[in-house]
Amino acid sequence: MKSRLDGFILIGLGISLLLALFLSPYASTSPDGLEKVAETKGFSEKGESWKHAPLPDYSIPWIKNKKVSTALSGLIGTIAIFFIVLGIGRLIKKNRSKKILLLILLSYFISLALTLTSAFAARPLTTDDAGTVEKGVFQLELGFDGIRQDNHGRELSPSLILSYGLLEQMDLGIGSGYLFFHPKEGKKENGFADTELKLKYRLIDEKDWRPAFAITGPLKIPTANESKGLGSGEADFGINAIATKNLSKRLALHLNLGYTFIGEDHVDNALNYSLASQFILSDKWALVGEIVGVNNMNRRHGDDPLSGLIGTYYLITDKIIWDAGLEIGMNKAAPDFRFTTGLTLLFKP
Amino acid sequence: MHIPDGFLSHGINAATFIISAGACAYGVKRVNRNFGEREVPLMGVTAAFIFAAQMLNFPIAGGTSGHFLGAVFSSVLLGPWASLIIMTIVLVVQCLGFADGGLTAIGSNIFNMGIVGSLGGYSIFFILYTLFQKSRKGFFIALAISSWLSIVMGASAAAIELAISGTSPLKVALPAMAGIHAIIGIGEAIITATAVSLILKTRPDLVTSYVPPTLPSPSRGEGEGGGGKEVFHEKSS
Repeated sequence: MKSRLDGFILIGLGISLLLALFLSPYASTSPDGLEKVAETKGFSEKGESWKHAPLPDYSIPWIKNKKVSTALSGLIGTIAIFFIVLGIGRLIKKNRSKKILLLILLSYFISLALTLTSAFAARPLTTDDAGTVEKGVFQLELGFDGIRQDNHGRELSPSLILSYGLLEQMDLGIGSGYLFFHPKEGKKENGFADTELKLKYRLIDEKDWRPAFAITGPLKIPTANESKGLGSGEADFGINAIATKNLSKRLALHLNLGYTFIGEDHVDNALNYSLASQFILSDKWALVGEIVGVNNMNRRHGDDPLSGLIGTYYLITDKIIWDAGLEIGMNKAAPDFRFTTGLTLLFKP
Repeated sequence: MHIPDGFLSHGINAATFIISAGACAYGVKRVNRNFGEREVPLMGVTAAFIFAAQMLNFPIAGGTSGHFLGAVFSSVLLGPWASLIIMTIVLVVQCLGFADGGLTAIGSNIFNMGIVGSLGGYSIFFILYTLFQKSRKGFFIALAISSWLSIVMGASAAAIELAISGTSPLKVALPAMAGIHAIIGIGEAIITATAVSLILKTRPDLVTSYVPPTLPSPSRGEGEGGGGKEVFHEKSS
Protein backbone atom coordinates (compact mmCIF):
# COMPACT_ATOMS: atom_id res chain seq x y z
CA MET A 1 0.00 0.00 0.00
CA LYS A 2 2.78 2.38 0.93
CA SER A 3 4.73 1.81 -2.26
CA ARG A 4 1.61 2.47 -4.29
CA LEU A 5 1.16 5.79 -2.51
CA ASP A 6 4.79 6.66 -3.27
CA GLY A 7 3.98 5.95 -6.90
CA PHE A 8 1.05 8.34 -6.82
CA ILE A 9 3.15 11.05 -5.18
CA LEU A 10 5.87 10.67 -7.79
CA ILE A 11 3.42 10.75 -10.68
CA GLY A 12 1.60 13.76 -9.20
CA LEU A 13 4.84 15.60 -8.61
CA GLY A 14 6.03 14.66 -12.09
CA ILE A 15 2.87 16.04 -13.69
CA SER A 16 3.19 19.27 -11.67
CA LEU A 17 6.83 19.72 -12.68
CA LEU A 18 6.01 19.07 -16.34
CA LEU A 19 3.21 21.65 -16.18
CA ALA A 20 5.53 24.22 -14.61
CA LEU A 21 8.41 23.48 -16.95
CA PHE A 22 6.72 23.08 -20.31
CA LEU A 23 3.33 24.77 -20.12
CA SER A 24 3.98 27.82 -17.93
CA PRO A 25 6.11 29.61 -20.57
CA TYR A 26 3.14 29.40 -22.93
CA ALA A 27 0.54 30.62 -20.42
CA SER A 28 -1.47 33.69 -21.30
CA THR A 29 0.26 36.93 -20.35
CA SER A 30 -2.96 38.94 -20.44
CA PRO A 31 -3.97 40.62 -17.17
CA ASP A 32 -5.96 38.36 -14.86
CA GLY A 33 -9.50 39.09 -13.69
CA LEU A 34 -8.59 41.47 -10.88
CA GLU A 35 -5.87 43.26 -12.91
CA LYS A 36 -8.34 43.78 -15.74
CA VAL A 37 -10.97 45.23 -13.40
CA ALA A 38 -8.32 47.47 -11.84
CA GLU A 39 -7.32 48.71 -15.30
CA THR A 40 -10.82 49.39 -16.58
CA LYS A 41 -12.06 50.91 -13.32
CA GLY A 42 -8.95 53.04 -13.00
CA PHE A 43 -7.26 51.93 -9.82
CA SER A 44 -4.49 49.72 -11.19
CA GLU A 45 -1.75 52.30 -10.56
CA LYS A 46 -2.40 52.03 -6.82
CA GLY A 47 -1.12 48.47 -6.75
CA GLU A 48 2.40 47.47 -5.90
CA SER A 49 3.96 44.19 -4.95
CA TRP A 50 6.83 43.26 -2.74
CA LYS A 51 10.05 44.52 -4.25
CA HIS A 52 12.34 42.02 -2.58
CA ALA A 53 10.94 38.82 -4.02
CA PRO A 54 13.79 36.69 -5.37
CA LEU A 55 11.79 35.58 -8.42
CA PRO A 56 9.53 38.57 -9.20
CA ASP A 57 6.59 37.81 -11.51
CA TYR A 58 7.68 34.20 -11.94
CA SER A 59 10.97 35.01 -13.57
CA ILE A 60 14.66 34.67 -12.77
CA PRO A 61 16.04 38.19 -13.08
CA TRP A 62 19.42 37.29 -14.60
CA ILE A 63 18.04 34.99 -17.28
CA LYS A 64 17.25 37.03 -20.39
CA ASN A 65 15.21 34.41 -22.25
CA LYS A 66 11.69 34.95 -20.98
CA LYS A 67 10.44 31.43 -21.60
CA VAL A 68 13.43 29.77 -19.91
CA SER A 69 13.19 32.24 -17.05
CA THR A 70 9.51 31.50 -16.44
CA ALA A 71 9.93 27.75 -16.78
CA LEU A 72 12.82 27.56 -14.33
CA SER A 73 11.17 29.81 -11.75
CA GLY A 74 8.05 27.62 -12.00
CA LEU A 75 10.19 24.53 -11.50
CA ILE A 76 11.90 26.04 -8.44
CA GLY A 77 8.56 27.17 -6.98
CA THR A 78 6.88 23.80 -7.46
CA ILE A 79 9.74 21.89 -5.83
CA ALA A 80 9.99 24.47 -3.03
CA ILE A 81 6.24 24.28 -2.30
CA PHE A 82 6.39 20.48 -2.17
CA PHE A 83 9.15 20.49 0.43
CA ILE A 84 7.74 23.39 2.45
CA VAL A 85 4.37 21.68 2.75
CA LEU A 86 6.08 18.38 3.52
CA GLY A 87 8.06 20.06 6.29
CA ILE A 88 5.10 21.90 7.77
CA GLY A 89 2.95 18.79 7.44
CA ARG A 90 5.51 16.71 9.34
CA LEU A 91 5.58 19.32 12.08
CA ILE A 92 1.79 19.40 12.30
CA LYS A 93 1.70 15.63 12.57
CA LYS A 94 4.18 15.69 15.42
CA ASN A 95 1.63 17.56 17.47
CA ARG A 96 3.52 20.79 17.37
CA SER A 97 0.66 22.58 15.72
CA LYS A 98 0.83 25.71 17.78
CA LYS A 99 4.55 26.07 17.32
CA ILE A 100 4.15 26.00 13.56
CA LEU A 101 1.59 28.75 13.65
CA LEU A 102 4.01 30.76 15.66
CA LEU A 103 6.81 29.97 13.27
CA ILE A 104 4.64 31.16 10.40
CA LEU A 105 3.71 34.32 12.26
CA LEU A 106 7.28 34.95 13.26
CA SER A 107 8.52 34.55 9.72
CA TYR A 108 5.76 36.91 8.66
CA PHE A 109 6.97 39.54 11.08
CA ILE A 110 10.59 38.96 10.08
CA SER A 111 9.67 39.32 6.43
CA LEU A 112 7.90 42.58 7.26
CA ALA A 113 11.10 43.72 8.92
CA LEU A 114 13.01 42.98 5.74
CA THR A 115 10.66 45.02 3.61
CA LEU A 116 10.67 48.31 5.46
CA THR A 117 12.89 51.10 6.56
CA SER A 118 8.52 55.04 16.49
CA ALA A 119 6.58 52.72 18.24
CA PHE A 120 5.37 52.17 21.76
CA ALA A 121 4.23 48.82 23.08
CA ALA A 122 1.51 48.32 25.56
CA ARG A 123 -1.80 46.55 25.40
CA PRO A 124 -2.60 44.00 24.00
CA LEU A 125 0.99 42.79 24.52
CA THR A 126 2.11 41.15 27.72
CA THR A 127 5.65 42.19 26.85
CA ASP A 128 6.67 45.50 28.36
CA ASP A 129 8.42 48.26 26.42
CA ALA A 130 11.21 50.53 27.57
CA GLY A 131 9.04 53.63 27.26
CA THR A 132 7.59 55.33 30.32
CA VAL A 133 4.47 57.42 30.71
CA GLU A 134 5.31 61.11 30.21
CA LYS A 135 5.94 63.14 33.34
CA GLY A 136 2.71 64.42 34.85
CA VAL A 137 0.51 62.32 32.60
CA PHE A 138 -1.98 59.74 33.81
CA GLN A 139 -2.59 56.64 31.72
CA LEU A 140 -5.57 54.38 32.29
CA GLU A 141 -5.73 50.94 30.73
CA LEU A 142 -9.07 49.14 30.72
CA GLY A 143 -8.91 45.52 29.73
CA PHE A 144 -11.21 42.59 29.28
CA ASP A 145 -9.78 39.07 29.05
CA GLY A 146 -11.42 35.76 28.24
CA ILE A 147 -9.32 32.68 28.88
CA ARG A 148 -9.94 29.03 28.07
CA GLN A 149 -7.70 26.65 29.95
CA ASP A 150 -6.46 23.36 28.52
CA ASN A 151 -8.94 21.51 30.74
CA HIS A 152 -11.71 23.69 29.22
CA GLY A 153 -12.17 25.73 32.38
CA ARG A 154 -12.99 29.35 31.53
CA GLU A 155 -11.99 32.63 33.09
CA LEU A 156 -13.32 36.10 32.41
CA SER A 157 -11.56 39.06 33.85
CA PRO A 158 -12.04 42.80 33.49
CA SER A 159 -9.01 44.76 34.65
CA LEU A 160 -7.85 48.30 35.29
CA ILE A 161 -4.31 49.68 35.40
CA LEU A 162 -3.48 53.28 36.30
CA SER A 163 0.00 54.62 35.58
CA TYR A 164 1.51 58.01 36.34
CA GLY A 165 4.67 59.59 34.99
CA LEU A 166 6.67 60.52 38.09
CA LEU A 167 9.78 61.74 36.28
CA GLU A 168 10.85 62.07 32.66
CA GLN A 169 12.24 58.56 32.88
CA MET A 170 10.16 56.93 35.58
CA ASP A 171 6.56 55.88 36.00
CA LEU A 172 4.54 54.09 38.62
CA GLY A 173 1.57 51.87 37.87
CA ILE A 174 -1.02 50.07 39.94
CA GLY A 175 -3.49 47.59 38.56
CA SER A 176 -5.98 44.96 39.53
CA GLY A 177 -8.92 43.08 38.13
CA TYR A 178 -11.93 41.02 38.94
CA LEU A 179 -12.02 37.31 38.16
CA PHE A 180 -14.95 35.15 37.10
CA PHE A 181 -13.71 31.59 37.20
CA HIS A 182 -15.81 28.85 35.60
CA PRO A 183 -14.13 25.47 35.94
CA LYS A 184 -15.35 22.64 33.70
CA GLU A 185 -16.28 20.76 36.83
CA GLY A 186 -16.81 22.15 40.28
CA LYS A 187 -17.99 25.41 41.70
CA LYS A 188 -17.92 28.75 39.89
CA GLU A 189 -15.96 31.37 41.78
CA ASN A 190 -15.51 35.09 41.46
CA GLY A 191 -13.63 37.79 43.30
CA PHE A 192 -10.88 40.37 43.11
CA ALA A 193 -7.62 39.40 41.45
CA ASP A 194 -4.20 40.15 42.84
CA THR A 195 -3.03 43.75 42.72
CA GLU A 196 0.21 44.66 41.05
CA LEU A 197 2.34 47.68 41.82
CA LYS A 198 5.07 48.42 39.31
CA LEU A 199 7.84 50.98 39.14
CA LYS A 200 9.58 51.43 35.80
CA TYR A 201 12.84 53.29 35.25
CA ARG A 202 14.30 53.92 31.82
CA LEU A 203 18.07 53.85 32.13
CA ILE A 204 19.16 54.44 28.55
CA ASP A 205 17.38 56.10 25.64
CA GLU A 206 17.63 54.61 22.20
CA LYS A 207 20.45 56.06 20.14
CA ASP A 208 21.94 54.90 16.83
CA TRP A 209 22.37 51.15 17.06
CA ARG A 210 21.84 51.01 20.82
CA PRO A 211 18.43 49.91 22.06
CA ALA A 212 16.57 51.69 24.82
CA PHE A 213 16.88 49.92 28.12
CA ALA A 214 14.66 49.97 31.20
CA ILE A 215 14.13 48.00 34.38
CA THR A 216 10.93 47.44 36.31
CA GLY A 217 10.23 46.15 39.76
CA PRO A 218 6.80 44.54 39.92
CA LEU A 219 5.31 43.69 43.31
CA LYS A 220 2.26 41.48 43.63
CA ILE A 221 0.02 42.28 46.57
CA PRO A 222 -2.16 39.26 47.42
CA THR A 223 -5.64 40.79 47.25
CA ALA A 224 -7.17 37.74 45.59
CA ASN A 225 -9.05 35.27 47.76
CA GLU A 226 -6.82 32.31 48.50
CA SER A 227 -9.55 29.99 49.78
CA LYS A 228 -11.52 30.44 46.53
CA GLY A 229 -8.43 29.45 44.60
CA LEU A 230 -8.16 32.81 42.86
CA GLY A 231 -4.68 33.61 44.17
CA SER A 232 -1.78 32.24 46.18
CA GLY A 233 -2.36 34.52 49.17
CA GLU A 234 1.33 35.40 49.24
CA ALA A 235 3.24 38.38 47.88
CA ASP A 236 5.63 37.97 44.96
CA PHE A 237 8.20 40.40 43.69
CA GLY A 238 10.44 40.45 40.70
CA ILE A 239 12.83 42.35 38.54
CA ASN A 240 12.54 42.78 34.78
CA ALA A 241 15.00 43.99 32.20
CA ILE A 242 13.51 45.51 29.06
CA ALA A 243 15.16 46.39 25.78
CA THR A 244 13.37 48.19 22.97
CA LYS A 245 14.82 48.68 19.52
CA ASN A 246 13.13 50.49 16.64
CA LEU A 247 14.41 48.68 13.58
CA SER A 248 12.70 51.10 11.25
CA LYS A 249 10.09 53.82 11.35
CA ARG A 250 7.48 51.10 11.33
CA LEU A 251 8.95 48.18 13.19
CA ALA A 252 9.98 47.87 16.80
CA LEU A 253 11.14 44.89 18.83
CA HIS A 254 10.83 44.53 22.57
CA LEU A 255 12.72 41.98 24.62
CA ASN A 256 11.97 41.22 28.25
CA LEU A 257 13.87 39.08 30.69
CA GLY A 258 12.86 38.84 34.30
CA TYR A 259 13.04 36.88 37.48
CA THR A 260 10.18 36.54 39.94
CA PHE A 261 10.55 35.53 43.56
CA ILE A 262 7.39 33.62 44.40
CA GLY A 263 6.20 34.04 47.98
CA GLU A 264 4.15 30.85 48.16
CA ASP A 265 5.83 27.90 49.88
CA HIS A 266 6.99 24.95 47.79
CA VAL A 267 6.59 26.90 44.56
CA ASP A 268 9.70 27.51 42.51
CA ASN A 269 10.80 30.97 41.50
CA ALA A 270 10.26 31.75 37.85
CA LEU A 271 12.32 33.07 34.99
CA ASN A 272 10.15 34.88 32.48
CA TYR A 273 11.06 35.94 28.98
CA SER A 274 9.25 37.40 26.04
CA LEU A 275 9.89 38.86 22.62
CA ALA A 276 7.42 41.16 20.93
CA SER A 277 7.30 42.87 17.58
CA GLN A 278 5.21 45.82 16.69
CA PHE A 279 4.50 46.89 13.16
CA ILE A 280 2.94 50.25 12.33
CA LEU A 281 0.61 49.85 9.38
CA SER A 282 -0.57 53.44 9.14
CA ASP A 283 -0.90 56.46 11.40
CA LYS A 284 -3.88 54.71 13.03
CA TRP A 285 -3.29 50.97 12.82
CA ALA A 286 -0.59 48.70 14.12
CA LEU A 287 -0.08 44.95 14.26
CA VAL A 288 1.63 43.32 17.19
CA GLY A 289 2.88 39.84 17.94
CA GLU A 290 4.79 38.20 20.75
CA ILE A 291 6.06 35.01 22.31
CA VAL A 292 5.87 34.77 26.08
CA GLY A 293 7.38 32.04 28.19
CA VAL A 294 8.04 31.26 31.82
CA ASN A 295 10.62 28.83 33.08
CA ASN A 296 9.91 27.61 36.57
CA MET A 297 13.23 27.06 38.28
CA ASN A 298 13.05 23.30 38.42
CA ARG A 299 14.02 20.41 36.25
CA ARG A 300 10.57 19.77 34.88
CA HIS A 301 9.73 21.25 31.53
CA GLY A 302 6.09 20.24 31.47
CA ASP A 303 5.10 23.05 33.80
CA ASP A 304 6.75 25.86 31.83
CA PRO A 305 4.05 27.73 29.91
CA LEU A 306 4.82 29.08 26.45
CA SER A 307 2.38 31.05 24.36
CA GLY A 308 2.14 33.37 21.39
CA LEU A 309 -0.07 36.38 20.82
CA ILE A 310 -1.11 38.31 17.76
CA GLY A 311 -3.11 41.46 17.92
CA THR A 312 -3.74 44.94 16.72
CA TYR A 313 -4.32 48.38 18.08
CA TYR A 314 -6.06 51.39 16.64
CA LEU A 315 -5.64 55.01 17.60
CA ILE A 316 -9.18 56.33 17.86
CA THR A 317 -7.70 59.70 18.80
CA ASP A 318 -4.20 60.50 20.08
CA LYS A 319 -5.54 60.01 23.61
CA ILE A 320 -7.72 56.91 23.15
CA ILE A 321 -6.36 53.64 21.81
CA TRP A 322 -8.41 50.51 21.22
CA ASP A 323 -6.73 47.09 21.05
CA ALA A 324 -7.47 43.41 20.67
CA GLY A 325 -5.35 40.30 20.73
CA LEU A 326 -5.54 36.54 20.60
CA GLU A 327 -3.08 34.46 22.58
CA ILE A 328 -2.60 30.82 21.78
CA GLY A 329 -0.97 28.49 24.29
CA MET A 330 1.73 26.34 22.78
CA ASN A 331 1.84 23.67 25.45
CA LYS A 332 -0.26 22.15 28.20
CA ALA A 333 1.00 24.51 30.88
CA ALA A 334 -0.27 27.58 29.04
CA PRO A 335 -3.98 28.38 28.63
CA ASP A 336 -5.49 27.11 25.39
CA PHE A 337 -6.68 30.51 24.22
CA ARG A 338 -6.86 33.99 25.64
CA PHE A 339 -8.77 36.76 23.99
CA THR A 340 -8.11 40.24 25.19
CA THR A 341 -9.47 43.61 24.24
CA GLY A 342 -9.15 46.98 25.89
CA LEU A 343 -8.87 50.74 25.80
CA THR A 344 -5.91 52.88 26.79
CA LEU A 345 -6.79 56.41 27.83
CA LEU A 346 -4.19 59.14 28.24
CA PHE A 347 -4.97 62.12 30.45
CA LYS A 348 -2.69 64.93 29.46
CA PRO A 349 -3.17 68.63 28.93
CA MET B 1 -7.35 37.22 -7.88
CA HIS B 2 -4.16 37.93 -5.91
CA ILE B 3 -4.62 41.41 -4.46
CA PRO B 4 -1.44 43.53 -4.51
CA ASP B 5 -0.42 46.04 -1.86
CA GLY B 6 -2.08 49.43 -2.06
CA PHE B 7 -5.57 48.34 -3.11
CA LEU B 8 -6.91 47.70 0.37
CA SER B 9 -6.98 49.81 3.50
CA HIS B 10 -4.89 48.80 6.46
CA GLY B 11 -8.01 48.26 8.54
CA ILE B 12 -9.28 45.62 6.12
CA ASN B 13 -5.85 44.01 5.90
CA ALA B 14 -5.48 43.87 9.68
CA ALA B 15 -8.99 42.47 10.16
CA THR B 16 -8.63 39.76 7.49
CA PHE B 17 -5.14 38.94 8.76
CA ILE B 18 -6.47 38.25 12.24
CA ILE B 19 -9.42 36.23 10.91
CA SER B 20 -7.11 34.25 8.61
CA ALA B 21 -4.52 33.62 11.31
CA GLY B 22 -7.27 32.44 13.67
CA ALA B 23 -8.77 30.16 11.02
CA CYS B 24 -5.33 28.74 10.20
CA ALA B 25 -4.64 28.10 13.88
CA TYR B 26 -7.91 26.22 14.18
CA GLY B 27 -7.21 24.50 10.86
CA VAL B 28 -3.85 23.22 12.05
CA LYS B 29 -5.57 21.86 15.13
CA ARG B 30 -8.25 20.13 13.04
CA VAL B 31 -5.76 18.72 10.55
CA ASN B 32 -3.66 17.47 13.43
CA ARG B 33 -6.56 15.38 14.66
CA ASN B 34 -6.82 13.09 11.64
CA PHE B 35 -3.40 13.18 10.15
CA GLY B 36 -1.51 9.99 9.42
CA GLU B 37 1.56 8.81 7.55
CA ARG B 38 -0.25 9.16 4.21
CA GLU B 39 -1.64 12.66 4.37
CA VAL B 40 1.58 14.65 4.61
CA PRO B 41 3.07 13.69 1.21
CA LEU B 42 -0.41 13.96 -0.33
CA MET B 43 -0.67 17.49 0.98
CA GLY B 44 2.76 18.27 -0.46
CA VAL B 45 1.98 16.97 -3.92
CA THR B 46 -1.44 18.66 -3.95
CA ALA B 47 0.17 21.99 -3.07
CA ALA B 48 2.86 21.52 -5.71
CA PHE B 49 0.20 20.77 -8.32
CA ILE B 50 -1.85 23.81 -7.30
CA PHE B 51 1.19 26.07 -7.49
CA ALA B 52 2.16 24.78 -10.94
CA ALA B 53 -1.42 24.93 -12.23
CA GLN B 54 -1.88 28.48 -10.92
CA MET B 55 0.93 29.57 -13.25
CA LEU B 56 -1.00 28.42 -16.29
CA ASN B 57 -3.13 31.42 -17.18
CA PHE B 58 -5.71 30.61 -19.81
CA PRO B 59 -7.11 33.36 -22.01
CA ILE B 60 -10.77 34.33 -21.68
CA ALA B 61 -12.74 36.98 -23.54
CA GLY B 62 -11.57 40.58 -23.89
CA GLY B 63 -7.81 40.35 -23.40
CA THR B 64 -8.17 38.88 -19.95
CA SER B 65 -6.78 35.70 -18.50
CA GLY B 66 -7.66 33.49 -15.59
CA HIS B 67 -6.04 30.62 -13.80
CA PHE B 68 -6.89 27.58 -11.73
CA LEU B 69 -7.29 28.17 -7.98
CA GLY B 70 -7.59 24.66 -6.57
CA ALA B 71 -9.41 25.49 -3.33
CA VAL B 72 -12.32 23.08 -3.89
CA PHE B 73 -9.99 20.59 -5.59
CA SER B 74 -7.76 20.28 -2.52
CA SER B 75 -10.77 20.37 -0.14
CA VAL B 76 -12.36 17.41 -1.85
CA LEU B 77 -9.09 15.46 -1.71
CA LEU B 78 -7.87 16.29 1.78
CA GLY B 79 -10.68 18.09 3.58
CA PRO B 80 -11.36 21.83 3.85
CA TRP B 81 -8.97 22.54 6.74
CA ALA B 82 -5.98 20.88 5.08
CA SER B 83 -6.96 22.80 1.96
CA LEU B 84 -6.92 26.08 3.90
CA ILE B 85 -3.38 25.29 5.11
CA ILE B 86 -2.28 24.43 1.54
CA MET B 87 -3.79 27.62 0.10
CA THR B 88 -2.14 29.66 2.85
CA ILE B 89 1.30 28.20 2.19
CA VAL B 90 0.92 28.61 -1.58
CA LEU B 91 -0.17 32.24 -1.14
CA VAL B 92 2.66 33.06 1.25
CA VAL B 93 5.25 31.52 -1.09
CA GLN B 94 3.76 33.31 -4.10
CA CYS B 95 3.84 36.59 -2.22
CA LEU B 96 7.33 36.34 -0.73
CA GLY B 97 9.02 34.44 -3.53
CA PHE B 98 7.27 35.63 -6.67
CA ALA B 99 5.81 39.05 -5.84
CA ASP B 100 2.35 37.70 -6.65
CA GLY B 101 -0.10 39.27 -4.20
CA GLY B 102 0.85 41.93 -1.69
CA LEU B 103 2.54 41.36 1.63
CA THR B 104 0.18 43.59 3.58
CA ALA B 105 -2.74 42.08 1.63
CA ILE B 106 -1.75 38.51 2.54
CA GLY B 107 -4.52 38.28 5.13
CA SER B 108 -7.10 39.38 2.58
CA ASN B 109 -5.81 36.96 -0.05
CA ILE B 110 -5.91 34.06 2.44
CA PHE B 111 -9.40 35.17 3.40
CA ASN B 112 -10.68 35.34 -0.20
CA MET B 113 -9.05 32.21 -1.55
CA GLY B 114 -8.57 30.09 1.58
CA ILE B 115 -11.48 30.89 3.85
CA VAL B 116 -14.07 31.81 1.21
CA GLY B 117 -12.57 29.52 -1.47
CA SER B 118 -11.72 26.40 0.53
CA LEU B 119 -14.04 26.53 3.55
CA GLY B 120 -16.92 28.26 1.72
CA GLY B 121 -16.47 26.24 -1.47
CA TYR B 122 -16.33 22.95 0.39
CA SER B 123 -19.43 23.83 2.44
CA ILE B 124 -21.37 24.32 -0.79
CA PHE B 125 -19.93 21.13 -2.25
CA PHE B 126 -20.94 19.20 0.87
CA ILE B 127 -24.50 20.59 0.93
CA LEU B 128 -25.04 19.87 -2.78
CA TYR B 129 -23.48 16.40 -2.58
CA THR B 130 -25.78 15.56 0.33
CA LEU B 131 -28.78 16.96 -1.58
CA PHE B 132 -27.90 14.68 -4.50
CA GLN B 133 -27.93 11.77 -2.06
CA LYS B 134 -24.22 11.09 -2.59
CA SER B 135 -24.65 9.63 -6.05
CA ARG B 136 -21.71 9.54 -8.44
CA LYS B 137 -23.37 11.94 -10.85
CA GLY B 138 -24.30 14.19 -7.93
CA PHE B 139 -20.67 14.20 -6.81
CA PHE B 140 -19.51 15.70 -10.10
CA ILE B 141 -22.41 18.17 -10.34
CA ALA B 142 -21.69 19.35 -6.79
CA LEU B 143 -17.98 19.54 -7.60
CA ALA B 144 -18.50 21.65 -10.73
CA ILE B 145 -20.97 24.06 -9.13
CA SER B 146 -18.98 24.51 -5.92
CA SER B 147 -15.67 25.08 -7.73
CA TRP B 148 -17.35 27.63 -10.02
CA LEU B 149 -18.87 29.33 -6.95
CA SER B 150 -15.57 29.28 -5.05
CA ILE B 151 -14.11 31.58 -7.72
CA VAL B 152 -17.15 33.86 -7.94
CA MET B 153 -17.48 34.11 -4.15
CA GLY B 154 -13.75 34.76 -3.69
CA ALA B 155 -13.85 37.49 -6.33
CA SER B 156 -16.97 39.01 -4.72
CA ALA B 157 -15.21 39.04 -1.33
CA ALA B 158 -12.31 40.87 -2.99
CA ALA B 159 -14.76 43.37 -4.51
CA ILE B 160 -16.36 43.99 -1.12
CA GLU B 161 -12.91 44.56 0.42
CA LEU B 162 -12.06 47.00 -2.39
CA ALA B 163 -15.32 48.84 -1.76
CA ILE B 164 -14.83 49.08 2.03
CA SER B 165 -11.28 50.31 1.40
CA GLY B 166 -12.70 53.08 -0.79
CA THR B 167 -10.72 51.91 -3.84
CA SER B 168 -13.73 51.25 -6.04
CA PRO B 169 -17.43 51.60 -5.20
CA LEU B 170 -19.29 48.34 -4.66
CA LYS B 171 -21.72 48.90 -7.52
CA VAL B 172 -18.74 49.17 -9.87
CA ALA B 173 -16.37 46.59 -8.39
CA LEU B 174 -18.81 43.81 -7.55
CA PRO B 175 -20.42 43.30 -10.99
CA ALA B 176 -17.03 43.71 -12.71
CA MET B 177 -15.23 41.21 -10.45
CA ALA B 178 -18.07 38.71 -10.27
CA GLY B 179 -18.69 39.02 -14.02
CA ILE B 180 -15.14 38.27 -15.15
CA HIS B 181 -14.71 35.54 -12.57
CA ALA B 182 -17.98 33.89 -13.56
CA ILE B 183 -16.15 33.10 -16.83
CA ILE B 184 -12.86 32.15 -15.15
CA GLY B 185 -14.90 29.94 -12.80
CA ILE B 186 -16.01 27.80 -15.75
CA GLY B 187 -12.33 26.96 -16.33
CA GLU B 188 -12.00 26.16 -12.62
CA ALA B 189 -15.01 23.82 -12.76
CA ILE B 190 -13.69 21.99 -15.83
CA ILE B 191 -10.16 21.56 -14.45
CA THR B 192 -11.39 20.50 -11.01
CA ALA B 193 -13.87 17.96 -12.37
CA THR B 194 -11.32 16.54 -14.83
CA ALA B 195 -8.52 16.27 -12.29
CA VAL B 196 -10.75 14.72 -9.61
CA SER B 197 -12.25 12.23 -12.07
CA LEU B 198 -8.74 11.17 -13.12
CA ILE B 199 -7.73 10.59 -9.51
CA LEU B 200 -11.03 8.83 -8.85
CA LYS B 201 -10.27 6.45 -11.72
CA THR B 202 -6.75 5.63 -10.60
CA ARG B 203 -6.80 6.07 -6.81
CA PRO B 204 -10.39 6.46 -5.56
CA ASP B 205 -9.23 5.95 -1.96
CA LEU B 206 -7.44 9.30 -2.10
CA VAL B 207 -10.61 11.32 -2.70
CA THR B 208 -11.74 11.46 0.91
CA SER B 209 -14.98 13.31 0.19
CA TYR B 210 -16.22 10.72 -2.28
CA VAL B 211 -18.52 8.09 -0.85
CA PRO B 212 -18.66 5.12 -3.23
CA PRO B 213 -22.27 4.14 -3.97
CA THR B 214 -23.10 0.85 -2.28
CA LEU B 215 -23.44 -1.90 -4.83
CA PRO B 216 -26.11 -4.56 -4.66
CA SER B 217 -23.61 -7.35 -5.41
CA PRO B 218 -19.96 -7.45 -6.37
CA SER B 219 -20.65 -9.10 -9.74
CA ARG B 220 -22.70 -6.16 -10.99
CA GLY B 221 -21.51 -2.68 -11.52
CA GLU B 222 -21.33 -1.96 -15.23
CA GLY B 223 -21.93 1.40 -16.87
CA GLU B 224 -22.73 4.12 -14.40
CA GLY B 225 -21.37 2.09 -11.53
CA GLY B 226 -18.01 1.49 -13.25
CA GLY B 227 -16.16 3.74 -10.85
CA GLY B 228 -17.93 2.16 -7.96
CA LYS B 229 -16.74 -1.26 -9.04
CA GLU B 230 -13.16 -0.10 -8.97
CA VAL B 231 -13.73 1.26 -5.52
CA PHE B 232 -15.04 -2.08 -4.43
CA HIS B 233 -11.95 -3.89 -5.67
CA GLU B 234 -9.72 -1.30 -4.08
CA LYS B 235 -11.29 -1.85 -0.71
CA SER B 236 -11.25 -5.64 -0.95
CA SER B 237 -7.63 -5.95 -2.07
